[in-house]
Amino acid sequence: MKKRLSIQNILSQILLVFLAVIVIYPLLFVFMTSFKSNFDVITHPFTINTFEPDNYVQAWEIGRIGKYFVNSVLITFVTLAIQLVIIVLASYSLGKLKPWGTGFLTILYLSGLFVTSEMITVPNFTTMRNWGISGTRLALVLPYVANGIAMATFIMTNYVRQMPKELDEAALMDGCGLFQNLTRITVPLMTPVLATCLIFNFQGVWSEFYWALIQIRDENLKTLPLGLMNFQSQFNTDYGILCAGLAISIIPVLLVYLKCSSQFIGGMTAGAVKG
Amino acid sequence: MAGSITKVERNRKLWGYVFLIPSLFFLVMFILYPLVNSIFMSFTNWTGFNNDSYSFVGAKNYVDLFTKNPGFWNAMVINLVFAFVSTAIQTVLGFLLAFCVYYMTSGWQRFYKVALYIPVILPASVIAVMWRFMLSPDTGLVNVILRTMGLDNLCRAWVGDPSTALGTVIAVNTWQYVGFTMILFLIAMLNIPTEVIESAQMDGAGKFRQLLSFFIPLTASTTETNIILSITGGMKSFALFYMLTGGGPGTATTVVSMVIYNTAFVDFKFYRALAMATVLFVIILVLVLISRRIGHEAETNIE
Repeated sequence: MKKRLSIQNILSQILLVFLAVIVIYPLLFVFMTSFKSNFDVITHPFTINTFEPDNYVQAWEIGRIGKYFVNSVLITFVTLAIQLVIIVLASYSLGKLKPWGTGFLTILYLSGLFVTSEMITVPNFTTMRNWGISGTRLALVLPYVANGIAMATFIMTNYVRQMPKELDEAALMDGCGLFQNLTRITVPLMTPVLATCLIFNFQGVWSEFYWALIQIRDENLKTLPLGLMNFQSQFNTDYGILCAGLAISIIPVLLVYLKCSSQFIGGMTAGAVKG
Repeated sequence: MAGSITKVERNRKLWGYVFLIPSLFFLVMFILYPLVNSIFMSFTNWTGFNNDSYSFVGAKNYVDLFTKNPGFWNAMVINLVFAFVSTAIQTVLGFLLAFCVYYMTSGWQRFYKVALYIPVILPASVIAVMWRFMLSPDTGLVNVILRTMGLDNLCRAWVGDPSTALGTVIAVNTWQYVGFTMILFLIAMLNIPTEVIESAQMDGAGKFRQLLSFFIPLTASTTETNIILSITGGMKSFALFYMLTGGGPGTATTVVSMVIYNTAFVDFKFYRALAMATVLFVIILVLVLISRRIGHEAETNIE
Protein backbone atom coordinates (compact mmCIF):
# COMPACT_ATOMS: atom_id res chain seq x y z
CA MET A 1 0.00 0.00 0.00
CA LYS A 2 1.23 3.50 -0.78
CA LYS A 3 2.02 5.50 2.32
CA ARG A 4 1.40 9.14 1.58
CA LEU A 5 2.51 12.19 3.49
CA SER A 6 -0.57 13.94 4.75
CA ILE A 7 -1.62 16.14 7.64
CA GLN A 8 -2.98 13.08 9.41
CA ASN A 9 0.30 11.25 9.03
CA ILE A 10 2.24 14.18 10.43
CA LEU A 11 -0.16 14.48 13.36
CA SER A 12 0.05 10.79 14.16
CA GLN A 13 3.83 10.92 13.84
CA ILE A 14 3.88 13.77 16.39
CA LEU A 15 1.62 11.82 18.75
CA LEU A 16 3.82 8.74 18.45
CA VAL A 17 7.05 10.62 18.96
CA PHE A 18 5.51 12.22 22.03
CA LEU A 19 4.55 8.80 23.45
CA ALA A 20 7.89 7.28 22.58
CA VAL A 21 9.51 10.14 24.51
CA ILE A 22 7.25 9.47 27.51
CA VAL A 23 8.24 5.81 27.41
CA ILE A 24 11.96 6.21 26.78
CA TYR A 25 12.85 9.47 28.53
CA PRO A 26 12.40 8.12 32.10
CA LEU A 27 14.89 5.37 31.29
CA LEU A 28 17.40 7.86 29.91
CA PHE A 29 16.79 10.07 32.93
CA VAL A 30 17.62 7.19 35.28
CA PHE A 31 20.73 6.43 33.26
CA MET A 32 21.87 10.07 33.34
CA THR A 33 21.13 10.46 37.05
CA SER A 34 23.14 7.33 37.78
CA PHE A 35 26.35 9.25 37.04
CA LYS A 36 25.49 12.34 39.09
CA SER A 37 26.23 13.47 42.61
CA ASN A 38 23.29 13.99 44.92
CA PHE A 39 23.79 17.74 44.97
CA ASP A 40 23.76 17.87 41.19
CA VAL A 41 20.55 15.81 41.05
CA ILE A 42 18.79 18.35 43.26
CA THR A 43 20.20 21.54 41.75
CA HIS A 44 20.28 20.59 38.05
CA PRO A 45 17.77 17.80 37.46
CA PHE A 46 17.91 17.91 33.64
CA THR A 47 21.61 18.30 32.96
CA ILE A 48 24.71 16.48 34.07
CA ASN A 49 27.53 18.52 35.59
CA THR A 50 29.27 15.91 37.68
CA PHE A 51 30.57 12.51 36.75
CA GLU A 52 30.57 9.91 39.49
CA PRO A 53 30.97 6.38 38.18
CA ASP A 54 31.62 5.50 41.82
CA ASN A 55 27.81 5.33 42.18
CA TYR A 56 27.98 2.00 40.36
CA VAL A 57 30.64 0.64 42.69
CA GLN A 58 28.53 1.70 45.68
CA ALA A 59 25.37 0.13 44.27
CA TRP A 60 27.15 -3.06 43.27
CA GLU A 61 28.99 -3.60 46.55
CA ILE A 62 27.40 -1.71 49.43
CA GLY A 63 23.93 -1.87 47.89
CA ARG A 64 24.56 -5.58 47.13
CA ILE A 65 23.05 -5.23 43.67
CA GLY A 66 25.95 -7.33 42.39
CA LYS A 67 25.01 -10.16 44.72
CA TYR A 68 21.32 -9.96 43.78
CA PHE A 69 22.20 -9.82 40.12
CA VAL A 70 24.39 -12.92 40.26
CA ASN A 71 21.68 -14.75 42.23
CA SER A 72 19.09 -13.88 39.61
CA VAL A 73 21.35 -15.00 36.78
CA LEU A 74 22.02 -18.30 38.55
CA ILE A 75 18.37 -19.02 39.36
CA THR A 76 17.24 -18.07 35.87
CA PHE A 77 19.94 -20.09 34.16
CA VAL A 78 19.28 -23.29 36.11
CA THR A 79 15.51 -22.93 35.69
CA LEU A 80 15.74 -22.46 31.94
CA ALA A 81 18.24 -25.31 31.55
CA ILE A 82 15.89 -27.75 33.29
CA GLN A 83 12.91 -26.41 31.34
CA LEU A 84 14.78 -26.80 28.07
CA VAL A 85 15.29 -30.53 28.63
CA ILE A 86 11.87 -31.39 29.97
CA ILE A 87 9.96 -29.30 27.42
CA VAL A 88 11.84 -30.95 24.54
CA LEU A 89 11.07 -34.40 25.93
CA ALA A 90 7.41 -33.60 26.64
CA SER A 91 6.67 -32.02 23.28
CA TYR A 92 8.48 -34.80 21.40
CA SER A 93 6.41 -37.32 23.29
CA LEU A 94 3.04 -35.60 22.87
CA GLY A 95 3.76 -34.40 19.34
CA LYS A 96 5.34 -37.50 17.78
CA LEU A 97 5.40 -40.56 20.03
CA LYS A 98 1.77 -40.02 21.06
CA PRO A 99 1.39 -42.47 23.95
CA TRP A 100 -2.12 -43.70 24.76
CA GLY A 101 -4.10 -40.91 26.39
CA THR A 102 -2.31 -38.07 24.56
CA GLY A 103 -5.55 -36.08 24.31
CA PHE A 104 -6.14 -36.26 28.03
CA LEU A 105 -2.51 -35.47 28.83
CA THR A 106 -2.59 -32.40 26.57
CA ILE A 107 -5.60 -31.09 28.46
CA LEU A 108 -3.80 -31.75 31.74
CA TYR A 109 -0.88 -29.59 30.61
CA LEU A 110 -3.26 -26.93 29.32
CA SER A 111 -5.09 -26.72 32.64
CA GLY A 112 -1.85 -25.44 34.14
CA LEU A 113 -2.37 -22.21 32.19
CA PHE A 114 -5.35 -21.10 34.24
CA VAL A 115 -3.87 -21.48 37.70
CA THR A 116 -3.16 -18.22 39.54
CA SER A 117 -0.09 -17.97 41.75
CA GLU A 118 -2.18 -17.21 44.87
CA MET A 119 -3.87 -20.58 44.41
CA ILE A 120 -0.65 -22.58 44.65
CA THR A 121 1.71 -20.69 46.95
CA VAL A 122 0.34 -22.00 50.26
CA PRO A 123 0.60 -25.74 49.44
CA ASN A 124 3.97 -25.15 47.75
CA PHE A 125 5.12 -23.37 50.88
CA THR A 126 4.27 -26.43 53.00
CA THR A 127 5.83 -28.78 50.44
CA MET A 128 9.11 -26.88 50.71
CA ARG A 129 8.90 -27.00 54.48
CA ASN A 130 8.19 -30.74 54.50
CA TRP A 131 11.11 -31.37 52.20
CA GLY A 132 13.33 -29.23 54.42
CA ILE A 133 14.34 -26.85 51.63
CA SER A 134 12.46 -23.69 52.67
CA GLY A 135 14.40 -20.54 51.95
CA THR A 136 16.93 -22.23 49.65
CA ARG A 137 17.61 -21.62 45.98
CA LEU A 138 16.12 -25.00 45.20
CA ALA A 139 12.83 -23.85 46.71
CA LEU A 140 12.75 -21.09 44.10
CA VAL A 141 13.86 -23.16 41.14
CA LEU A 142 11.42 -26.07 41.46
CA PRO A 143 8.18 -24.05 41.23
CA TYR A 144 9.74 -21.71 38.65
CA VAL A 145 10.41 -24.69 36.40
CA ALA A 146 6.82 -25.82 36.86
CA ASN A 147 5.38 -22.36 36.07
CA GLY A 148 6.85 -22.28 32.59
CA ILE A 149 5.88 -25.77 31.49
CA ALA A 150 2.22 -25.48 30.54
CA MET A 151 2.47 -22.74 27.93
CA ALA A 152 5.76 -23.88 26.40
CA THR A 153 4.70 -27.53 26.14
CA PHE A 154 1.44 -26.48 24.53
CA ILE A 155 3.14 -24.33 21.89
CA MET A 156 5.99 -26.77 21.26
CA THR A 157 3.70 -29.81 21.01
CA ASN A 158 1.65 -28.09 18.32
CA TYR A 159 4.85 -27.22 16.51
CA VAL A 160 6.33 -30.72 16.69
CA ARG A 161 3.06 -32.26 15.54
CA GLN A 162 3.10 -30.13 12.40
CA MET A 163 6.62 -31.14 11.36
CA PRO A 164 6.65 -32.83 7.95
CA LYS A 165 5.93 -36.57 8.27
CA GLU A 166 8.17 -37.38 5.28
CA LEU A 167 11.25 -36.54 7.33
CA ASP A 168 10.33 -39.07 10.00
CA GLU A 169 9.60 -41.73 7.41
CA ALA A 170 12.86 -41.14 5.57
CA ALA A 171 14.74 -41.24 8.87
CA LEU A 172 13.03 -44.51 9.80
CA MET A 173 14.12 -46.01 6.45
CA ASP A 174 17.69 -45.06 7.26
CA GLY A 175 17.40 -46.97 10.53
CA CYS A 176 16.96 -43.90 12.72
CA GLY A 177 15.45 -44.94 16.05
CA LEU A 178 13.32 -42.72 18.24
CA PHE A 179 16.36 -41.30 20.03
CA GLN A 180 18.16 -40.37 16.82
CA ASN A 181 14.95 -38.88 15.50
CA LEU A 182 14.84 -36.70 18.63
CA THR A 183 18.44 -35.51 18.51
CA ARG A 184 19.01 -35.29 14.75
CA ILE A 185 15.62 -34.22 13.39
CA THR A 186 13.23 -32.92 16.01
CA VAL A 187 15.55 -30.81 18.16
CA PRO A 188 17.30 -29.01 15.27
CA LEU A 189 13.94 -28.21 13.70
CA MET A 190 12.37 -26.95 16.93
CA THR A 191 15.25 -24.67 17.96
CA PRO A 192 13.88 -21.29 16.78
CA VAL A 193 10.44 -21.77 18.35
CA LEU A 194 11.98 -23.23 21.48
CA ALA A 195 14.21 -20.16 21.80
CA THR A 196 11.13 -17.93 21.66
CA CYS A 197 9.40 -20.02 24.33
CA LEU A 198 12.44 -19.90 26.58
CA ILE A 199 12.77 -16.13 26.20
CA PHE A 200 9.13 -15.87 27.24
CA ASN A 201 9.89 -18.03 30.29
CA PHE A 202 13.03 -16.03 30.97
CA GLN A 203 10.92 -12.95 31.50
CA GLY A 204 8.70 -14.79 33.95
CA VAL A 205 11.58 -16.11 36.05
CA TRP A 206 13.67 -12.95 35.89
CA SER A 207 10.75 -10.78 37.09
CA GLU A 208 9.24 -13.17 39.62
CA PHE A 209 8.58 -11.45 42.93
CA TYR A 210 5.71 -13.01 44.88
CA TRP A 211 7.16 -16.47 45.51
CA ALA A 212 10.66 -15.10 46.13
CA LEU A 213 9.22 -12.72 48.73
CA ILE A 214 7.59 -15.66 50.51
CA GLN A 215 10.59 -17.99 50.38
CA ILE A 216 13.79 -16.04 50.67
CA ARG A 217 14.82 -14.39 53.95
CA ASP A 218 18.58 -14.79 53.57
CA GLU A 219 20.17 -11.58 52.23
CA ASN A 220 22.75 -13.65 50.35
CA LEU A 221 20.15 -15.55 48.35
CA LYS A 222 17.84 -12.71 47.31
CA THR A 223 17.09 -12.25 43.63
CA LEU A 224 17.16 -8.88 41.93
CA PRO A 225 13.43 -8.03 42.14
CA LEU A 226 13.40 -8.90 45.83
CA GLY A 227 16.74 -7.30 46.62
CA LEU A 228 15.68 -4.03 45.01
CA MET A 229 13.24 -3.58 47.88
CA ASN A 230 16.04 -3.38 50.47
CA PHE A 231 18.15 -1.43 48.07
CA GLN A 232 15.47 1.19 47.71
CA SER A 233 15.02 1.70 51.44
CA GLN A 234 18.79 1.84 51.89
CA PHE A 235 19.43 4.48 49.21
CA ASN A 236 16.07 6.21 49.22
CA THR A 237 17.67 9.65 49.12
CA ASP A 238 21.00 8.77 47.48
CA TYR A 239 19.57 9.35 44.05
CA GLY A 240 22.74 8.71 42.09
CA ILE A 241 23.35 5.34 43.70
CA LEU A 242 19.66 4.42 43.50
CA CYS A 243 19.70 5.09 39.76
CA ALA A 244 23.00 3.24 39.31
CA GLY A 245 21.35 0.17 40.89
CA LEU A 246 18.35 0.57 38.59
CA ALA A 247 20.62 0.95 35.58
CA ILE A 248 22.42 -2.29 36.49
CA SER A 249 19.02 -4.01 36.73
CA ILE A 250 17.81 -2.61 33.43
CA ILE A 251 20.75 -2.44 31.01
CA PRO A 252 21.79 -6.12 30.60
CA VAL A 253 18.22 -7.20 29.84
CA LEU A 254 17.73 -4.17 27.61
CA LEU A 255 20.80 -5.07 25.56
CA VAL A 256 19.67 -8.67 25.12
CA TYR A 257 16.24 -7.35 24.15
CA LEU A 258 17.60 -4.92 21.55
CA LYS A 259 19.69 -7.74 20.08
CA CYS A 260 16.76 -10.13 19.66
CA SER A 261 13.65 -8.01 20.06
CA SER A 262 11.62 -10.09 17.63
CA GLN A 263 11.95 -13.21 19.81
CA PHE A 264 10.87 -11.22 22.87
CA ILE A 265 7.86 -9.72 21.12
CA GLY A 266 7.08 -12.97 19.30
CA GLY A 267 7.06 -15.00 22.51
CA MET A 268 4.75 -12.65 24.36
CA THR A 269 2.32 -12.22 21.50
CA ALA A 270 2.28 -15.94 20.63
CA GLY A 271 1.51 -16.64 24.26
CA ALA A 272 -1.20 -14.02 24.26
CA VAL A 273 -2.91 -15.35 21.18
CA LYS A 274 -2.81 -18.96 22.32
CA GLY A 275 -3.70 -18.18 25.92
CA MET B 1 -6.31 -53.26 21.58
CA ALA B 2 -2.56 -53.53 21.32
CA GLY B 3 -2.87 -56.54 19.06
CA SER B 4 -2.90 -54.54 15.84
CA ILE B 5 0.02 -52.42 16.91
CA THR B 6 3.52 -53.39 15.90
CA LYS B 7 6.23 -53.92 18.44
CA VAL B 8 8.09 -50.81 17.28
CA GLU B 9 4.95 -48.73 17.61
CA ARG B 10 4.32 -50.08 21.09
CA ASN B 11 7.88 -49.34 22.07
CA ARG B 12 7.49 -45.73 20.89
CA LYS B 13 4.36 -45.24 22.97
CA LEU B 14 6.00 -46.65 26.07
CA TRP B 15 9.01 -44.37 25.63
CA GLY B 16 6.46 -41.58 25.21
CA TYR B 17 5.43 -42.07 28.83
CA VAL B 18 9.04 -42.12 30.01
CA PHE B 19 9.69 -38.79 28.28
CA LEU B 20 6.69 -37.26 30.01
CA ILE B 21 7.78 -38.20 33.50
CA PRO B 22 9.96 -35.15 34.28
CA SER B 23 7.46 -32.56 33.07
CA LEU B 24 4.54 -34.35 34.70
CA PHE B 25 6.44 -34.44 37.98
CA PHE B 26 6.82 -30.64 37.98
CA LEU B 27 3.33 -29.98 36.68
CA VAL B 28 1.57 -32.26 39.13
CA MET B 29 3.77 -31.58 42.15
CA PHE B 30 3.87 -27.78 41.99
CA ILE B 31 0.79 -26.74 40.01
CA LEU B 32 -2.04 -29.28 39.94
CA TYR B 33 -1.67 -30.87 43.37
CA PRO B 34 -1.37 -27.44 45.06
CA LEU B 35 -4.46 -26.24 43.20
CA VAL B 36 -6.58 -29.16 44.38
CA ASN B 37 -5.04 -29.00 47.84
CA SER B 38 -5.81 -25.27 48.13
CA ILE B 39 -9.48 -25.74 47.32
CA PHE B 40 -9.72 -28.73 49.66
CA MET B 41 -7.98 -27.00 52.56
CA SER B 42 -10.12 -23.88 52.20
CA PHE B 43 -12.89 -25.94 53.85
CA THR B 44 -10.77 -26.71 56.91
CA ASN B 45 -9.28 -24.79 59.83
CA TRP B 46 -5.69 -25.42 58.73
CA THR B 47 -3.41 -22.63 59.99
CA GLY B 48 -0.18 -23.75 58.42
CA PHE B 49 1.52 -24.45 61.74
CA ASN B 50 -0.57 -27.44 62.79
CA ASN B 51 0.78 -29.19 59.74
CA ASP B 52 -1.24 -32.37 59.59
CA SER B 53 -3.93 -31.59 62.09
CA TYR B 54 -6.97 -29.89 60.70
CA SER B 55 -10.65 -30.52 60.76
CA PHE B 56 -13.44 -29.75 58.37
CA VAL B 57 -15.41 -26.61 59.02
CA GLY B 58 -17.62 -26.76 55.93
CA ALA B 59 -18.20 -23.44 54.24
CA LYS B 60 -17.38 -21.47 57.39
CA ASN B 61 -14.31 -19.77 55.89
CA TYR B 62 -16.37 -18.60 52.95
CA VAL B 63 -19.27 -17.43 55.11
CA ASP B 64 -16.81 -15.50 57.29
CA LEU B 65 -15.19 -14.03 54.23
CA PHE B 66 -18.53 -12.81 52.91
CA THR B 67 -19.88 -11.55 56.23
CA LYS B 68 -16.99 -10.54 58.46
CA ASN B 69 -14.22 -9.35 56.22
CA PRO B 70 -14.86 -5.85 54.83
CA GLY B 71 -11.11 -5.38 54.29
CA PHE B 72 -11.07 -8.10 51.66
CA TRP B 73 -14.01 -6.65 49.76
CA ASN B 74 -12.57 -3.17 50.00
CA ALA B 75 -9.43 -4.56 48.35
CA MET B 76 -11.58 -6.34 45.77
CA VAL B 77 -13.26 -3.05 44.80
CA ILE B 78 -9.86 -1.35 44.46
CA ASN B 79 -8.67 -4.27 42.36
CA LEU B 80 -11.72 -4.12 40.10
CA VAL B 81 -11.38 -0.36 39.63
CA PHE B 82 -7.69 -0.82 38.86
CA ALA B 83 -8.33 -3.67 36.41
CA PHE B 84 -11.21 -2.00 34.57
CA VAL B 85 -9.80 1.53 34.33
CA SER B 86 -6.37 0.20 33.27
CA THR B 87 -7.98 -2.04 30.69
CA ALA B 88 -10.14 0.73 29.26
CA ILE B 89 -7.26 3.21 28.94
CA GLN B 90 -4.83 0.61 27.64
CA THR B 91 -7.18 -0.82 25.06
CA VAL B 92 -8.25 2.55 23.64
CA LEU B 93 -4.76 4.04 23.70
CA GLY B 94 -3.14 0.86 22.37
CA PHE B 95 -5.65 0.69 19.54
CA LEU B 96 -5.15 4.33 18.55
CA LEU B 97 -1.38 3.96 18.65
CA ALA B 98 -1.54 0.86 16.47
CA PHE B 99 -3.83 2.72 14.06
CA CYS B 100 -1.28 5.54 13.83
CA VAL B 101 1.63 3.15 13.41
CA TYR B 102 -0.23 1.17 10.74
CA TYR B 103 0.13 3.99 8.20
CA MET B 104 3.85 4.43 8.86
CA THR B 105 6.63 3.00 6.70
CA SER B 106 7.89 -0.38 7.85
CA GLY B 107 11.03 1.21 9.28
CA TRP B 108 9.00 3.42 11.60
CA GLN B 109 6.71 0.51 12.42
CA ARG B 110 9.70 -1.45 13.61
CA PHE B 111 11.05 1.47 15.58
CA TYR B 112 7.81 2.05 17.47
CA LYS B 113 7.30 -1.65 18.08
CA VAL B 114 10.72 -2.06 19.63
CA ALA B 115 10.68 1.27 21.52
CA LEU B 116 7.21 1.10 23.05
CA TYR B 117 7.77 -2.51 24.09
CA ILE B 118 10.86 -1.76 26.22
CA PRO B 119 8.96 -1.30 29.53
CA VAL B 120 7.16 -4.62 29.00
CA ILE B 121 10.42 -6.55 29.36
CA LEU B 122 11.31 -4.91 32.68
CA PRO B 123 10.30 -6.55 35.98
CA ALA B 124 7.45 -4.81 37.80
CA SER B 125 9.73 -4.32 40.80
CA VAL B 126 12.25 -2.38 38.71
CA ILE B 127 9.43 -0.26 37.29
CA ALA B 128 8.09 0.36 40.80
CA VAL B 129 11.43 1.50 42.23
CA MET B 130 12.08 3.65 39.20
CA TRP B 131 8.72 5.40 39.37
CA ARG B 132 8.91 5.86 43.11
CA PHE B 133 11.99 7.91 42.42
CA MET B 134 10.33 9.83 39.55
CA LEU B 135 7.23 10.52 41.61
CA SER B 136 8.89 11.56 44.85
CA PRO B 137 7.41 14.85 46.07
CA ASP B 138 10.49 17.11 46.10
CA THR B 139 13.09 15.79 43.70
CA GLY B 140 10.96 13.53 41.48
CA LEU B 141 11.06 14.15 37.76
CA VAL B 142 7.28 14.54 37.45
CA ASN B 143 7.04 17.35 39.98
CA VAL B 144 10.25 18.96 38.72
CA ILE B 145 8.79 19.11 35.21
CA LEU B 146 5.54 20.55 36.53
CA ARG B 147 7.45 23.22 38.45
CA THR B 148 9.59 24.08 35.44
CA MET B 149 6.40 24.61 33.46
CA GLY B 150 5.04 26.85 36.20
CA LEU B 151 2.34 24.39 37.20
CA ASP B 152 3.35 24.31 40.86
CA ASN B 153 -0.23 23.86 42.02
CA LEU B 154 -0.41 20.48 40.22
CA CYS B 155 2.51 19.09 42.21
CA ARG B 156 1.55 16.25 44.53
CA ALA B 157 3.01 13.57 46.69
CA TRP B 158 1.66 11.28 43.99
CA VAL B 159 1.83 7.93 45.76
CA GLY B 160 1.44 9.39 49.25
CA ASP B 161 -1.80 11.24 48.57
CA PRO B 162 -4.92 9.04 48.97
CA SER B 163 -6.71 10.89 46.17
CA THR B 164 -4.01 10.24 43.56
CA ALA B 165 -2.35 6.99 44.70
CA LEU B 166 -4.54 4.55 42.78
CA GLY B 167 -4.60 6.76 39.68
CA THR B 168 -0.82 6.92 39.79
CA VAL B 169 -0.48 3.14 39.91
CA ILE B 170 -2.89 2.91 36.96
CA ALA B 171 -0.78 5.43 35.04
CA VAL B 172 2.45 3.54 35.74
CA ASN B 173 0.83 0.24 34.80
CA THR B 174 -0.41 1.78 31.54
CA TRP B 175 3.04 3.20 30.89
CA GLN B 176 4.43 -0.31 31.19
CA TYR B 177 1.90 -2.23 29.11
CA VAL B 178 0.55 0.09 26.44
CA GLY B 179 3.27 -1.07 24.04
CA PHE B 180 2.14 -4.66 24.43
CA THR B 181 -1.49 -3.78 23.65
CA MET B 182 -0.34 -1.66 20.72
CA ILE B 183 1.67 -4.52 19.21
CA LEU B 184 -1.20 -7.03 19.48
CA PHE B 185 -3.48 -4.56 17.66
CA LEU B 186 -0.83 -3.76 15.06
CA ILE B 187 -0.35 -7.45 14.26
CA ALA B 188 -4.11 -7.83 13.84
CA MET B 189 -4.31 -4.74 11.62
CA LEU B 190 -1.44 -5.90 9.43
CA ASN B 191 -3.34 -9.16 8.97
CA ILE B 192 -6.29 -7.36 7.40
CA PRO B 193 -6.05 -7.95 3.63
CA THR B 194 -4.67 -4.75 2.13
CA GLU B 195 -7.15 -4.99 -0.78
CA VAL B 196 -9.96 -4.28 1.67
CA ILE B 197 -8.34 -1.06 2.86
CA GLU B 198 -7.20 -0.05 -0.63
CA SER B 199 -10.62 -0.44 -2.18
CA ALA B 200 -12.05 1.63 0.65
CA GLN B 201 -9.49 4.33 -0.05
CA MET B 202 -10.38 4.15 -3.72
CA ASP B 203 -14.01 4.76 -2.81
CA GLY B 204 -12.85 7.90 -1.04
CA ALA B 205 -13.28 6.66 2.53
CA GLY B 206 -11.27 8.84 4.91
CA LYS B 207 -9.15 7.55 7.76
CA PHE B 208 -11.95 7.98 10.26
CA ARG B 209 -14.38 6.08 8.05
CA GLN B 210 -11.80 3.28 7.57
CA LEU B 211 -11.32 3.18 11.33
CA LEU B 212 -15.02 2.68 12.00
CA SER B 213 -15.87 0.29 9.20
CA PHE B 214 -12.73 -1.84 9.02
CA PHE B 215 -10.20 -1.51 11.77
CA ILE B 216 -12.50 -1.71 14.78
CA PRO B 217 -14.67 -4.61 13.55
CA LEU B 218 -11.82 -6.58 11.96
CA THR B 219 -9.70 -6.49 15.10
CA ALA B 220 -12.55 -7.44 17.45
CA SER B 221 -10.99 -10.74 18.51
CA THR B 222 -7.75 -8.95 19.40
CA THR B 223 -9.72 -6.47 21.47
CA GLU B 224 -11.17 -9.44 23.32
CA THR B 225 -7.71 -10.97 23.88
CA ASN B 226 -6.38 -7.64 25.10
CA ILE B 227 -9.26 -7.11 27.48
CA ILE B 228 -8.94 -10.61 28.94
CA LEU B 229 -5.18 -10.36 29.39
CA SER B 230 -5.39 -6.90 30.89
CA ILE B 231 -8.21 -7.71 33.30
CA THR B 232 -6.57 -10.94 34.51
CA GLY B 233 -3.23 -9.13 34.82
CA GLY B 234 -4.91 -6.34 36.76
CA MET B 235 -6.70 -8.70 39.14
CA LYS B 236 -3.44 -10.56 39.90
CA SER B 237 -1.19 -7.52 40.19
CA PHE B 238 1.05 -7.64 43.26
CA ALA B 239 4.68 -6.53 42.84
CA LEU B 240 3.83 -3.13 41.38
CA PHE B 241 1.50 -2.25 44.26
CA TYR B 242 3.69 -3.82 46.92
CA MET B 243 6.76 -1.85 45.90
CA LEU B 244 5.26 1.37 44.55
CA THR B 245 2.73 2.18 47.27
CA GLY B 246 2.97 -0.68 49.75
CA GLY B 247 -0.82 -0.69 49.71
CA GLY B 248 -1.05 2.79 51.18
CA PRO B 249 -1.70 5.45 52.10
CA GLY B 250 -3.95 3.69 54.57
CA THR B 251 -5.62 1.03 52.47
CA ALA B 252 -6.10 3.24 49.41
CA THR B 253 -4.16 0.87 47.16
CA THR B 254 -4.36 -2.42 49.08
CA VAL B 255 -5.24 -5.06 46.50
CA VAL B 256 -6.53 -8.60 47.01
CA SER B 257 -3.24 -10.38 46.40
CA MET B 258 -1.72 -8.23 49.13
CA VAL B 259 -4.49 -9.13 51.57
CA ILE B 260 -3.97 -12.81 50.71
CA TYR B 261 -0.22 -12.49 51.20
CA ASN B 262 -0.63 -10.83 54.60
CA THR B 263 -3.26 -13.31 55.76
CA ALA B 264 -1.20 -16.33 54.75
CA PHE B 265 2.40 -15.33 55.38
CA VAL B 266 2.20 -12.56 57.97
CA ASP B 267 -0.74 -13.71 60.10
CA PHE B 268 -0.42 -17.41 59.18
CA LYS B 269 -4.16 -17.93 58.77
CA PHE B 270 -3.86 -20.32 55.83
CA TYR B 271 -7.51 -21.37 55.87
CA ARG B 272 -8.63 -17.78 55.50
CA ALA B 273 -6.12 -17.02 52.75
CA LEU B 274 -7.12 -20.12 50.78
CA ALA B 275 -10.77 -19.14 50.80
CA MET B 276 -9.76 -15.69 49.57
CA ALA B 277 -7.55 -17.11 46.83
CA THR B 278 -10.36 -19.39 45.68
CA VAL B 279 -12.84 -16.50 45.56
CA LEU B 280 -10.33 -14.40 43.58
CA PHE B 281 -9.75 -17.31 41.21
CA VAL B 282 -13.48 -17.72 40.61
CA ILE B 283 -13.99 -13.98 40.10
CA ILE B 284 -11.18 -13.86 37.53
CA LEU B 285 -12.67 -16.89 35.78
CA VAL B 286 -16.11 -15.24 35.69
CA LEU B 287 -14.63 -12.00 34.31
CA VAL B 288 -12.87 -13.95 31.57
CA LEU B 289 -16.05 -15.81 30.68
CA ILE B 290 -18.06 -12.57 30.57
CA SER B 291 -15.42 -10.92 28.34
CA ARG B 292 -15.47 -13.91 26.02
CA ARG B 293 -19.23 -13.87 25.89
CA ILE B 294 -19.39 -10.16 25.09
CA GLY B 295 -16.58 -10.54 22.58
CA HIS B 296 -18.39 -13.43 20.93
CA GLU B 297 -21.63 -11.51 20.62
CA ALA B 298 -19.84 -8.47 19.26
CA GLU B 299 -18.19 -10.63 16.62
CA THR B 300 -21.41 -12.32 15.54
CA ASN B 301 -23.13 -8.93 15.37
CA ILE B 302 -20.43 -7.72 12.99
CA GLU B 303 -20.88 -10.68 10.70
